[in-house]
Amino acid sequence: MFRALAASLMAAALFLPLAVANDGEGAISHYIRDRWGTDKGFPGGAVSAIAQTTDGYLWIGTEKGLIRFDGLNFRLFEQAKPSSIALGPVQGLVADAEGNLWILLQRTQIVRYRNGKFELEREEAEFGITSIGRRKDSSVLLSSLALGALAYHDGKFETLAASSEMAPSESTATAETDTRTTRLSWSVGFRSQRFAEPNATVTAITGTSDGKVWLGTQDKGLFYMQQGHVFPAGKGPSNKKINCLLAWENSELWIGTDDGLLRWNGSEITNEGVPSVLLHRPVLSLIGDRSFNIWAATSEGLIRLDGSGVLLDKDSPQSGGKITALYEDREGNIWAGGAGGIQRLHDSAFITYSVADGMPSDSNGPVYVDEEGRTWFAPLTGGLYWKKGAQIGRVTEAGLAKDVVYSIAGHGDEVWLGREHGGLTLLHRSGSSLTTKTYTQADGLAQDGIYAVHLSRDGTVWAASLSNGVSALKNGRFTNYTTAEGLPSDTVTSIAESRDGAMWFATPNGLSMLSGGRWRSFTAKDGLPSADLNCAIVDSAGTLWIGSSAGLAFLVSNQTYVPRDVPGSLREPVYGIAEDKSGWLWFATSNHIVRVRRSALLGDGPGNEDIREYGLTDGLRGTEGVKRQRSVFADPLQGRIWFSMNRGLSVVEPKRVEGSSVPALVHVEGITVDGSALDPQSAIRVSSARQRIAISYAALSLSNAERVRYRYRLEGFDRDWSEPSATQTAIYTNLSPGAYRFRVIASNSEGAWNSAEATVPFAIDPMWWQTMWARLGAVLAAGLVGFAFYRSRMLRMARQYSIRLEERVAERTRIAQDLHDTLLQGVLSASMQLHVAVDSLPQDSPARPKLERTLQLISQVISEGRDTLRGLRSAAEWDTDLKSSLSRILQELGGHSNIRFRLVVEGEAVALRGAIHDEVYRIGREAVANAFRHSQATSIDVLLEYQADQLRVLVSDDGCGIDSQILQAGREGHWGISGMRVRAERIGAKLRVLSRSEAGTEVELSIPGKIAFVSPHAAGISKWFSKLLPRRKNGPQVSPSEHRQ
Amino acid sequence: MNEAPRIRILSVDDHPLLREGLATIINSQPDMEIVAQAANAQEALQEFRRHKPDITLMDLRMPGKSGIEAMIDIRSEFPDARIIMLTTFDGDMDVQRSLEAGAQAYLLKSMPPKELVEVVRQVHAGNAPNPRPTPAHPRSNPRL
Repeated sequence: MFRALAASLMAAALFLPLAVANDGEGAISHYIRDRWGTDKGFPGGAVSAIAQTTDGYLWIGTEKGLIRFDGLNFRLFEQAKPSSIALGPVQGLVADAEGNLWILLQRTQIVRYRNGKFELEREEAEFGITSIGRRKDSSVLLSSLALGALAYHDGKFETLAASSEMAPSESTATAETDTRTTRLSWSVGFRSQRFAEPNATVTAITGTSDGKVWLGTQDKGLFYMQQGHVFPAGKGPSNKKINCLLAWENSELWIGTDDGLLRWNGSEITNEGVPSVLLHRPVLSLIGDRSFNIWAATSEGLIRLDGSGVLLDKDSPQSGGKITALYEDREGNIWAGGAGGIQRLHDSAFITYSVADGMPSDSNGPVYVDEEGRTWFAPLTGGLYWKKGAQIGRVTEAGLAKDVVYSIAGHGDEVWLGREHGGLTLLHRSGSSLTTKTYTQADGLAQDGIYAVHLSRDGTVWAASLSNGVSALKNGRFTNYTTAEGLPSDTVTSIAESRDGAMWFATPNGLSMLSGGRWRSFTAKDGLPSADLNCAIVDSAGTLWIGSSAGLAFLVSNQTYVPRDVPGSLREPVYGIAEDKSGWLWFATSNHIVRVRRSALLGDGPGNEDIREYGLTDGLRGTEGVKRQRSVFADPLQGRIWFSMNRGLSVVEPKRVEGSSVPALVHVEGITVDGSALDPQSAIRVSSARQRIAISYAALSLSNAERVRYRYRLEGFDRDWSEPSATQTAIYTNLSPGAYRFRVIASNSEGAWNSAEATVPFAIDPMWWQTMWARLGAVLAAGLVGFAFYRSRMLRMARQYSIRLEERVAERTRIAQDLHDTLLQGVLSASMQLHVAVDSLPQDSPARPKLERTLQLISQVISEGRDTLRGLRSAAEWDTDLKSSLSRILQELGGHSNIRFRLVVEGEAVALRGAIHDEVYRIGREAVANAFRHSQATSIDVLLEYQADQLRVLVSDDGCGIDSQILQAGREGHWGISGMRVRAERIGAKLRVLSRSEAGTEVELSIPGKIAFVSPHAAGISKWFSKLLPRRKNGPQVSPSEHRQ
Repeated sequence: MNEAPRIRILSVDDHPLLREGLATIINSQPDMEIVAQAANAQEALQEFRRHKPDITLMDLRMPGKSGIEAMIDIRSEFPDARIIMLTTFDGDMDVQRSLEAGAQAYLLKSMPPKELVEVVRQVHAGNAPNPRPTPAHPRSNPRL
């Protein structure tokens, strides 16, 4: 009981570190490292150089050729197109600010790549280039054997050497005329004055900000060039091969040689400031990064130098560990290439400390950072530890080694601990010593199990017990509050304080506020997603943020809200909340670490750009939060956010996360139409007969290419941007003709959307049937088809007749054609030849009269043949209307001037079906012929009457009448009335013959309009229609070209 | 026996028999000769280009391009070409058209050879008489 009487006061031990972590913060092992070897698609070959062009692609020069990398895929270029030079091994790469990639081939040629095209450099840079490098302004420098240093600006090379330094022009001229071998190999064997100064193979070139161009040589040491003249740089390492040069701040130059790193300090070459580890190691490549670290690629791995020291790469990247090329990309990633591939060192957002770094445990509970920058943390398994820089210490006093610390709070030099069994403990620091004081139930504490501790502004220490309410310690006295006083639960998980002094208690049974001695509770009924609460903080603006087991809520003016449209992670149990100084809230949930813009949570809901989830690629070892009071803690001094996780203790510097957001560079990489690729640079026209257009695009964000998201929109088709997606192809099918513009934007690894978009316009050409005229035509055609259909129904019956008639017309025409083509032409020819033969006979030849008689007979045959042909021919073929055909009858019959022939047409002429025209003509002709030949008529009248529903033809004469005719009927009798009747029946017409002896004859033919007319109701249209069509539409047998007579 | 150059004639007809008959007639005349024959419009133009005949005897109806079209083709290239149309039928509608389109005359194939060669001579001499009065309308001719 003695122990219980007073808080135990114990003398403290010194602050002695338990262990020193092997690396400080930002050590190489804390870079997120990703490797690409042949197993991940790297085409292979030892890497000689790495560079990034302004369009965002990473280029890797290897002994196999040139490789392009977009963060996900490698592409090997072996041929330089369009000039189709074999590239071969690449010796050096420089990407300049003008968008060029300079490729130094091993055969000392330079190839320049720009906008998808490779060009072999000519003139000054054609041959004998031994090294390429950059000035600080990113312009390219080349070292030519013949001309010395060259610079390139605005499409031109500039020889930096003053003319007096140049090689004699004669020897240059000689060199050009020699074709036996390459100019380089030829010139190497030539006199030394062939070379420009410094008369040695330059192996490294760079420029410092003071305008000097530095030349590192194979075996003659270091030179610099100033105002066109070359000077040796002090007493250089003349026997050391210089591999690389790094132009540093203040005109300082770092020199990587085969035998260690050296430094030009402005006046001399020295190894002063060079870490001992680099004094004799071969340095193959050097870069300086944006954080002013110098990276050296050595034969035994990567070494980073900074102001405070050297970081060695324990974690040898590749077998052998030899690094041969280094590059820092636009996002700050360090790329290192070696024998078997490349690796990326990504300075991740988070640094995680775990057992591997000397931490006591990977599972951590509460975390707190004191004003001296010491991070206090307590593993779930027990004990209390601190970490400062690389030092980790342990506090064993007050029985802490054997207890689990649930909660850590602090102010000034005090640290308050809530313990599982040991009550409430105060650690008081003074200098390097610690004193402790522990309060237990015996001192008035509600319970010895304290879950949450909070220090309020008025100096009160609040201690929330596991199951017996909350204790407030003020002026050495405890005041306890339980459900009896108004708490919703005697278990309190978290305590927060408003700026007005109101206290907030989160419990498994709702939220409780103590203000001015009064209690107020909020539960699920008040809008909380769940009454089971894990944590609560008050942000800088006074909003209370509440993490429940069913997600996030906030409280403003005593009203609780659930933020709108939050990501799924914020509907999980929320374990920890912290606010940074840039307006973001950081959350640890049961399964996620997520950063969300505070204003978006309060407002309309966060968009994609307002949310960033962090994962293993960001430096976390896991994303599982820990359910402890203050498992997420914002360090008020340094602004860093600490996350106590199940897999280590992680820390993020929000400022750096903000600054590292480099927009992704988005490109349209290709378009394929039905599988065949088109050049996106050229004007694209696609036939609409094509079905499937696929547009592939890529956004270059090398830090974390997997996180890149795309939104696209096809102007002319899509109404809005697509939802964000990782897909790198958009596919459109069956686009209608028109102009389109494909637009794509991308978000970078941090989820920030770029404003610069990639676009590609293209046009879908209409097929002929898709043109306006064709469409009008189609409408018209459809109308006509409808019309034709209508007509066909109307004339179904008539068609039956006409088909038969057409067949007969066809048959007749065929016979006529045969007659004409064979018989008639043959007889005509025979007649001609016989004529000639007869003419050649002497006038008195006895054969002559006989042959002339023969000729007469032939002539008669021809004449009769022609008449027969004429009869077989279709009248409709000759005449456009029936009137013309009928008016010709008399002439055809060898008209007599003493017979009056009269043709009268009544009604408006309507087009007739071809076969009907023909038959009516024949019947009419027969009737007229009868009158003409047999009736002795003096007058013949033909009446042609177009009526609405029928066609009527009346042939009348004033002759002797039919009875007498029959008596006189000779051979024509056969073709007489009975012939006319047969014809009339065939076409569905009525024939009426009225005749009296000596009183003339009347022949009346009437044909129903449905049969006779092309269309009884639409005669006008049908006329017009028939003009559009070939003269006859019922078969080729009567088409003009085939019908010959 | 004749010093004057002969009238050079191109004969165009799709019937070989008829071409033979025409050739017999023409070649029996001392002052004219068949220099080429053609069976269709394309050949006619080719042969015309090659031989530049003085007179072309052109069948009115041929398969493919008609005689009128063949004549128009020739005359568009050789406006001075003298072309006489041949037809089986008098009263053919196309006879009038061919005259309007530039034919110098037209002949019935059944016409006595003496008249035929006479028309050729006249056309060659620069006269363009039809052997019969040019009908005002082909159909008004009472004879077939």
